[in-house]
Amino acid sequence: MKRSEYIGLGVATIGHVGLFGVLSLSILNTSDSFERSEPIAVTLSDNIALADTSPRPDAEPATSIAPEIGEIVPPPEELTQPENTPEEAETMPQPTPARTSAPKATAPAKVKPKPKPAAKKPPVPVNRSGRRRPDRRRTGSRLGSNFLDGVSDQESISRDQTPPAARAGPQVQASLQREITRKLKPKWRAPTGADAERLVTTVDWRLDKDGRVVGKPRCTKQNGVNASNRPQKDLHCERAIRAVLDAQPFSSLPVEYYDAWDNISYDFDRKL
Amino acid sequence: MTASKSPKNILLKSAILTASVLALAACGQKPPPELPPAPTTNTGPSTATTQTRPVETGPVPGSQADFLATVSSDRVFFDTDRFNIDTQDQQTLQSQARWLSQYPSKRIIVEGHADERGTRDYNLALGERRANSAKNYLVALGIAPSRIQVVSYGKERPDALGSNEQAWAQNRRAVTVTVE
Amino acid sequence: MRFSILISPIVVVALAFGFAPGIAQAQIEAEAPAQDDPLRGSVTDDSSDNIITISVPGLPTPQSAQTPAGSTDELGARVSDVIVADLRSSGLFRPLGRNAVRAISYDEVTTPALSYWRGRNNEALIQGFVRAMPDGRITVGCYLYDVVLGTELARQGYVVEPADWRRAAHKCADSVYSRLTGESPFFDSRIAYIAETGPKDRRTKRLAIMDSDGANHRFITNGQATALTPRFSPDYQSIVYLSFLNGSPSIYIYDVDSGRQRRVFSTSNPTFAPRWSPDGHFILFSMAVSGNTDIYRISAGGGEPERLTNAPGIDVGGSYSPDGSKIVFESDRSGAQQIYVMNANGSNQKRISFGGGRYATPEWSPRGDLIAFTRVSGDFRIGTMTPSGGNIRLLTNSWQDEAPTWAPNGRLIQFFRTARGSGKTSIWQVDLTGKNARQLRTPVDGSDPSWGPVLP
Repeated sequence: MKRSEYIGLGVATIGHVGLFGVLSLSILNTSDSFERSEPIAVTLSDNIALADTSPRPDAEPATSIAPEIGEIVPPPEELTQPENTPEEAETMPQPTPARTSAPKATAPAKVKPKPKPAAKKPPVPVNRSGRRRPDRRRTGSRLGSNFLDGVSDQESISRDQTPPAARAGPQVQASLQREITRKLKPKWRAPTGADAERLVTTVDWRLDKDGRVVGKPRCTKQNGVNASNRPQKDLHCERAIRAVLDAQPFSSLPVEYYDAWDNISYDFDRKL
Repeated sequence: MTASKSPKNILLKSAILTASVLALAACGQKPPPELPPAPTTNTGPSTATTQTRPVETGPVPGSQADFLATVSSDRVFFDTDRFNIDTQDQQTLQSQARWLSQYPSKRIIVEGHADERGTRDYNLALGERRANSAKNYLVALGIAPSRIQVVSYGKERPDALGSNEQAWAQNRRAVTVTVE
Repeated sequence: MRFSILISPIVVVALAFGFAPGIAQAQIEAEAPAQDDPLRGSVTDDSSDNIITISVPGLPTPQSAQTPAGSTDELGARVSDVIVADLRSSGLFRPLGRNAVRAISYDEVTTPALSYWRGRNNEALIQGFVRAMPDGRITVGCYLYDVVLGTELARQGYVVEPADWRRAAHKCADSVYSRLTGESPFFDSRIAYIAETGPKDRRTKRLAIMDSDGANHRFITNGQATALTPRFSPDYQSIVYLSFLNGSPSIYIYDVDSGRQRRVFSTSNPTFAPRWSPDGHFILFSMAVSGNTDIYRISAGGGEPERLTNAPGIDVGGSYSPDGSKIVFESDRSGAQQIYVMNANGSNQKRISFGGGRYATPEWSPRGDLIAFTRVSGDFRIGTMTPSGGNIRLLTNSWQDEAPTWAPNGRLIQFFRTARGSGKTSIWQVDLTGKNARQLRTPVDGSDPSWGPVLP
């Protein structure tokens, strides 16, 4: 185990470092071409919401934990270190992608990096691409987000390892909830109708580190259905999902607590 | 003259009225016990307007105008949601019965009405009930049922136009009209 | 006076790739095996209103062509206007009509400029077209897009005679309303009512009909005899109503196509409060006999009536449940008007209203879930209750609101309001939340509205 792991990690690290170099170059290029102007506004507001999180102005930086990887070649436990990394992250956002691969699968990790620069875009959920790009630009460099998308697939793996960190205490959780609610609230519009206010729909969805929805949000539970509001039942679910899709990216969620918010289950209701 | 049924004496009245109504409802054609004397008695107190007028002076005998001039009133009034004939109504109807027996070939229509404070369909039924009460009383006084037709206008033909207790009291009525 | 109202069925055509998917994706899915505890929370929509902003540009035409109802350009503009008016009237939409948004080209209809519309601060977009067909008819296309998510929510096409362009517009509005609210459609329907004119003590009351938006208004009777309480038959072919034609209240059936009418049942007793059975085969009515009013049922074709109630007192205003198995009616057998339910054959009569005040004019919702009524307790108010009498909800609060009638989708109620003093009447509608009350525009005062089903 250990051996292979170490070997794998070693290989991965090397690969990632290489990648990192390449990517950072490419990022520099691309970043020039787009945003820069827009991103600032968004990130600022995000910061305001989450007092607990790191002071950085950019949420994106957090995702770039690449630096850790370099340092944290060692076993999973050491992943707790991310807290140290933030500062570094600020300066070098892009590395992140590399990090994800580090935890386990070495070979796949390598493969992915390459596609990222160009081919990565396709992998992103098809429907959203049209709309979300603009958002991405705001949050940070395009490349960065692409990377993250690719990365996200593997993140489940890394998540498993991180739990031990147990970073998200009640206060952090409350803070994360506030932030998610803040994002959802303006987008959530319940259908109207007799007794429609009695409906409560629970929607589950997953987020990548970029705060983007992975896969499709699902309605997992509905309460309060009666004869009068049955016509709104399905619509209630549809609108709740719509709110999630419309509210993303949840880019202000701090990546160091990613384990706490990678998987979200929210109740959507209505008060008259 | 018509607003005599103010709500204040409702209780008192309803006591008296229910008695006579029950009697009416029960016996249909047969005159209630207390009624027989009525025709002969002098139509004293009820409504002052028409009584003083001598019958001979005015209109053609047997005409609607004559009817109006002769009887103490062409209409009786009801409490909210009620259809019973009270003592004052009895006197009115007695005067109508006297006129009717004087002109045995004359036929009449009793129009039942309700105030605007009821729903439309229900008021049609209520108007019919009221007209029917008046008819039953006249029949009890010996007028042949075949001479009396009943029609309900519900709340469709108010007499008083206001939207207040007084106007409504005036509109809860059964009006006797002679058929020319 | 005779005229006919031809109801030509609308041909609904699938456009291009057929119908857009419904809300299929909204099904509840079984919970997937959780990999870890999700972050849980809740979000509440506590906005004061949930009005949906929706853009409705004029409908372009691929090629302008003349039709008996105007050019396809003009029709495109007018269709858009009707859609806007329909949606606005529901109270659930804030439509931005062609005066508020830019015009679109025919090519844009199926490829909406989403990025443009997204910036317009609206949530949905209706695009469509009007196209003349070789056979003289027109096709009206209707597309609904979710601007925010960039998805197509519905598409339909309607082939109609040019003269029926309004119906195509109503159908389009119906499909949009339906898709965005979850409710059944109702715009493409008609209303019968009583048009009132004249002073309070000598009101002229005429039978009249109109589209649900007040268009195509027609007087049916001339007002010489007072007409009351009309009801469209389920197929719109006839109207049953009360008339004082022969001096006292009697029920007549008016045949819409021929303009002829006949008494439902010849009797010297007053008959009133007519109602159709859901299948149109029977008519319920009330008949007063010597001061006692009961509910009867008679075949719409005539024959002998069957007496359904026999309690002493006034039993009136029966209304069938949508499946025809039960009848709700009012009775004062307890001493005051209250609401009762019985089986369609008159058996098993049970009182269901026990709240304070009197309860009158019950009307069973076409959906079956509620019964609308007039509550008389000082003022008259419109309300709803369940068929078992529970969950009483008052929807209006005015001096005198009376006689509810249901929209075909069972989500809106019309009634008439009488002004204190003047006795002037007007027709109003309100939704089941008690919101969005609004007055229907009628050429003269209106009362006794009766909403027919959605047209075929």
